[in-house]
Amino acid sequence: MGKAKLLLAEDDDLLAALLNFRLKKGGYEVTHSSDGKQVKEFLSQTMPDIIVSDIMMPYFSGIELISYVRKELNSNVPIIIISSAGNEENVLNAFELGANDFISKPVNPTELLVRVGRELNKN
Amino acid sequence: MKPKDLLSQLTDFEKKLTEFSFNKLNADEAEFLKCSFLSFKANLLEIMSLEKSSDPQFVRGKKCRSQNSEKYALGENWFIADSYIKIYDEVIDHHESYDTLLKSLNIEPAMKSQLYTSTLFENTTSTATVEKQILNLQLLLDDECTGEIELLEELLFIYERNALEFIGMAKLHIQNENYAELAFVAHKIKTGLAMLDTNDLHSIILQIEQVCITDKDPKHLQFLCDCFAQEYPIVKETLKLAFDKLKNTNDL
Repeated sequence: MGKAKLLLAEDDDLLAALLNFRLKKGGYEVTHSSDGKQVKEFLSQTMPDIIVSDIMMPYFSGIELISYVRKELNSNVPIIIISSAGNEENVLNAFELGANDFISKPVNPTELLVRVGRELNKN
Repeated sequence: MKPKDLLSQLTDFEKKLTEFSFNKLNADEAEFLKCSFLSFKANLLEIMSLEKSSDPQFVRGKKCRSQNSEKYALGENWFIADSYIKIYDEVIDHHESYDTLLKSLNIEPAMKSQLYTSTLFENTTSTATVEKQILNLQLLLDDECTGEIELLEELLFIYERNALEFIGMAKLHIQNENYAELAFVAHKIKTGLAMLDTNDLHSIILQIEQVCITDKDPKHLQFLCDCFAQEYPIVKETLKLAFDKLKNTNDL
């Protein structure tokens, strides 16, 4: 069985570098996109097994991403949202649009690995 | 210092004070005002001590107006003291304006204290700070980077790049009065600042983000961005020293 494909949409390079490293080490094939345009382009070509996305991103927010995946691409791919503290309204909005889980910043990479694994096992 | 020299220094100082504008207040100017005030006060007290004045009201300054100067036992130099007192009163008034300004800007108490004691602008890194940062980096290395020193090095490289990018972008966004974008770049950098436990910079960024959302005061934002730009090189140096020591320890 091949590695699970994971799309990491995060514009904070520092956090992305850390998560990219830990997720790859955790056995995932990671594609990193730092803005919404790249994410949209990637998703139009291929659908990953799971998406981990920040809410606040340039051009195309995490909220718009969920809406795009669920409504336009009609996909049930698991989506985990990364959110800053104090962004509860957006998190609720994300769940309403179809996000499967969320993790708040500062992100603990070990916790993220557990959540990613759990979502993939559900499917 | 001779009275004549002091008077000459005071004349220069008075000129600078007159030119000082709170509309253009930035961290450097505020620091200059504070340093000038302390220097002036020290000189005044010194000359007072030479003149053997023992009246405690004199040293309080604010209550000491020029028309009362003859009360003090300053001998034939009373006319020089008269000038000192006038300027001293002015300095105190300016200093109080500065204090009021800082209060109006909602500067956090800890940061304000740093401004007054001048440590924020002190261009040195203390051993204790470096040692504390070594512990922080060690934790980051063990917990998040799973012991991979190259990853930690990469994170530090990205951290520096992001900080410099922020300084440049902040300047541009303030010029263009684009506070939404300024809030966005501040938001983008704050996770990294917290991750590396650089709390002073993180605190400044949180304030910038808050002001961008609330009152959008360009002077306040400029002040905070100046604080960030002043503090960053010190933090960078501390991180570099801490990382080098940590790397050496791990290489052993």
